[in-house]
Amino acid sequence: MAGAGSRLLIAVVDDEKSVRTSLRRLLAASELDAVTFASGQEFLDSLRQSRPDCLILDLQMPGLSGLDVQRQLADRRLRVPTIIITAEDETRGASPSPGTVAYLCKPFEEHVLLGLIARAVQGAPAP
Amino acid sequence: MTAPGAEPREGAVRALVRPAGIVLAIVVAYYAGSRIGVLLKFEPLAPSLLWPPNAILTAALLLAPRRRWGLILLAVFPAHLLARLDSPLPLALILALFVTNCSEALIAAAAVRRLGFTASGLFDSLRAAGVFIACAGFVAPFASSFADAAAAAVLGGKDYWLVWETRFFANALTALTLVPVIVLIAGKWRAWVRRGFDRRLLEAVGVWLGIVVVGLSLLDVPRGVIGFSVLMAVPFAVLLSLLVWSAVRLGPAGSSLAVLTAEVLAIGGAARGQWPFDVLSRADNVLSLQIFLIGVAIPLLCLAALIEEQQRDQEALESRLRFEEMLSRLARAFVHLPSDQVDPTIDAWLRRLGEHLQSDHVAIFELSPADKTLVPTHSWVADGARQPGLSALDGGLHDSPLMITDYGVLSFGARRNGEPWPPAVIPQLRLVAEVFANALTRKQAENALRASEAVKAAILASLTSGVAVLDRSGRVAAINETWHSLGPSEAASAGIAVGATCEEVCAYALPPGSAYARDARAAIEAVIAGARSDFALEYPRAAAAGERWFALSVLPLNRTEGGAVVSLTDVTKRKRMELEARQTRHELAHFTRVSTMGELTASLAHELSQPLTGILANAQAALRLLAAAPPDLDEVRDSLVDIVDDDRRAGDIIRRLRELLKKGETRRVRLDLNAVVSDVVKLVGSDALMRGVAITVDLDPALPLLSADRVQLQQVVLNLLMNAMEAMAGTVEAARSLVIRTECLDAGTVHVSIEDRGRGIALDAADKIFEPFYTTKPDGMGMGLSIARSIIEAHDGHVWAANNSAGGATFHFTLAVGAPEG
Repeated sequence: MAGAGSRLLIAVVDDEKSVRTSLRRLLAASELDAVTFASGQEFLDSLRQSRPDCLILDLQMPGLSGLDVQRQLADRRLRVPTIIITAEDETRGASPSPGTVAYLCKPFEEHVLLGLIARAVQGAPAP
Repeated sequence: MTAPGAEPREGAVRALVRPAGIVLAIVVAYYAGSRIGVLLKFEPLAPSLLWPPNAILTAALLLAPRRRWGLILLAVFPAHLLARLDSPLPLALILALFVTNCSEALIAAAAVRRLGFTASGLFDSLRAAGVFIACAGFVAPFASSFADAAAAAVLGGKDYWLVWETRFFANALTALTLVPVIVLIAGKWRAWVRRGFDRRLLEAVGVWLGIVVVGLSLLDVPRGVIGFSVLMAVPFAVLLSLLVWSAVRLGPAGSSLAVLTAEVLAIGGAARGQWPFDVLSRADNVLSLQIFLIGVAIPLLCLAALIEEQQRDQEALESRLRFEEMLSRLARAFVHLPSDQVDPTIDAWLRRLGEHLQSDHVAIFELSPADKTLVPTHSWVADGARQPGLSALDGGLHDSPLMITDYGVLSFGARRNGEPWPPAVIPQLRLVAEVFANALTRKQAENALRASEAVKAAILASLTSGVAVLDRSGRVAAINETWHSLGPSEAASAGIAVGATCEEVCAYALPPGSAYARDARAAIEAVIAGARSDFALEYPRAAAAGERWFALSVLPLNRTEGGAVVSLTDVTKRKRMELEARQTRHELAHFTRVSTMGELTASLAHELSQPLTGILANAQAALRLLAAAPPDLDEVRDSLVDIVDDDRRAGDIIRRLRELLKKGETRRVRLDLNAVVSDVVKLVGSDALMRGVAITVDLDPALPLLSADRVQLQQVVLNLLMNAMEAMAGTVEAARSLVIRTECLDAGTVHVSIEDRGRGIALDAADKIFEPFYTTKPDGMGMGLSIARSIIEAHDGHVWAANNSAGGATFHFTLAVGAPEG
């Protein structure tokens, strides 16, 4: 986790470019540092350099899916509070992985996202 | 079988009684003849004028069968003895005379038989009469008289030659005059009794009375009264004339009776020494009388026989001519005879034939072609005769004519006159049978033809299509009723009849002045001319109750004289059904598309949520950026650009959806198949992502544009892609790959293949998967592939599927590039 006083680092993993770009722009405007990844693998590879305070993770992606990414995080015993964003009501059947703060259905309102991020970085479990 | 008892016994009694009666009659006649012969001796020791016993015995032997001769000779022996009881002759001579009498009769009868003649017909021809005269009138008395004279000389001490001479002439005369009378009366008395009293009998009686009167009046007149003059010759001339008359008019029997009568009268005259027998001695008188009577009897017998023969020949000739004339009329009667007249005409002719030929029946049996049995079809039966059955044919095989023809059998019965069938008639009856058989066969053929014509007419009338047969000149040769009900209106329906021209036919059937009418007329003329083998056209025509559709087809008339058959069918109902079927297919296709879209809902939501997420996030970021001081306008602009892009992207998705969901009419346009494939791949992209299927698209950039319906092709590709993805549900995720390829097979055909790594197609399902309602999915309708096939085939393409060697299946379809259409 980044040091206190510095801006929170939020990772966005989504294969959809427009989603990545728009979220990066929104998070930046909300005074959050955002780093985006087009695939789960890219994100996992980046963990050697830095660890985000919060992960915004898409579920359906070619290659590693969102759940695969969470599984690997668990394997590496890394606990990153994660907000799962999904294009559909796909929460059923997916057991909440460790670290999952919330499921968010696309498209979503900024205050909902920002509120969830705030809760996630405070370590509070999802409501 | 006869009943045992009465009948055979009665027959046996009759068989004994009748010959016994005959033998008794012979014995009595022999005795009486002997007594008469003795009485006709002018002096006790002089020879007899007539000697009847030998003639009676000769006639009896001629009439009797040869096996009875011994019995007859034995029976007359006592009569011979009895007749000579008061004779002064020694017994030995009497016995010897019996032997010579018998030998004379035996010689005469045996010789006649030997030369092939019998009692019946012995006086019917000149030849037979000659044989009789030679045998009975000359040889027998001549030969036997030597023995007789010898016996008389040796045993009776008489003059040999005198005895021989008197016996020979007496016996010859008796044989020539008495035997014919006995034989003919015995043979014909039954026929005379049957015939009763008629003109011929009246004539015979008249002639006989004439002979008696002339004989008595002339022979009985003493010489002293009349004196000799030329006038004395007149009675002889009259007598001879009457005798000749009897020979000419009354036949051998009448003639023989007349001669015998004259003979008896002459003998009577001579016995009393009357004129002309009063000149010479009695013995000389006897001899000259005998010679005279022999001289009269022989020519008269010959003349009667000759006339009888000629008459018989004449009658036979006339009968044959009548029969031939009848046959000729019969043959003419059946020429050009209408078939409905054949049966009554045959019946009439059977009667005439039967009556003419005196058959007791005439019948025709048909040989049934089905079971080879004989079935009676026509018959005539004489009054009182038995109806002929099949058993009549058995009899026919033996003694009645039986003519076998191709039709069957013509059979005749026994002859009513009891005579056998003359062999000369048989060939003529064969001709009759052929005439009948021809008429009946022709009648059958005509009936069959009429039946087949009726069937043809009924078929033509029952056709629901109008049929007009045109001859080589294009004029209507035949037309059925249905044609008239297919006319443009009731008023015009009377327009087409036999003889109408090709132009009138076209004007009647097709919208006047239309291109259809011009094409049809040209085609009909071309078919008649042999320039084309057929022609078919479907066209609409305005009618009072809305538009109607007709199908016109033209085929050459399969006849040597040429022509064409034009058939006109109202296909409005079929057209409506086709339209409805197309509509149904269309709706079904739409329904299938909508169902498929339903399956895609999740992925489409995913697809659409991406740009929406981007739009919302960008917009809210822009608002925040604008609220900051100073606002980062560059970043705001970038946000807005991204918003526009995302919105367009969402719009594209909606456009594609709307395209697939809309329910428009089929519309062919020039389109790029690659674009169609790409669009669909984009549509299912999210679904593929969710299913973990990697789609590889391999498009041939050189693909020509197609003339096709875009939505329909999208539906096919969508259906095949969805099927391929569903087929891989059981495949490990890493292997879930799908390749869609387009390529150009040749200038006119493009080929699309969709290859998956799924479970493949079951062997037994390979030919069923394109059938409607065939599905392997638990909730499938089984319409997807069936609709895909109908779409591809409507685009002149083919669709098929095959398993891949590496697993999974590949679905292929081809499309014809086709000409550009509106």
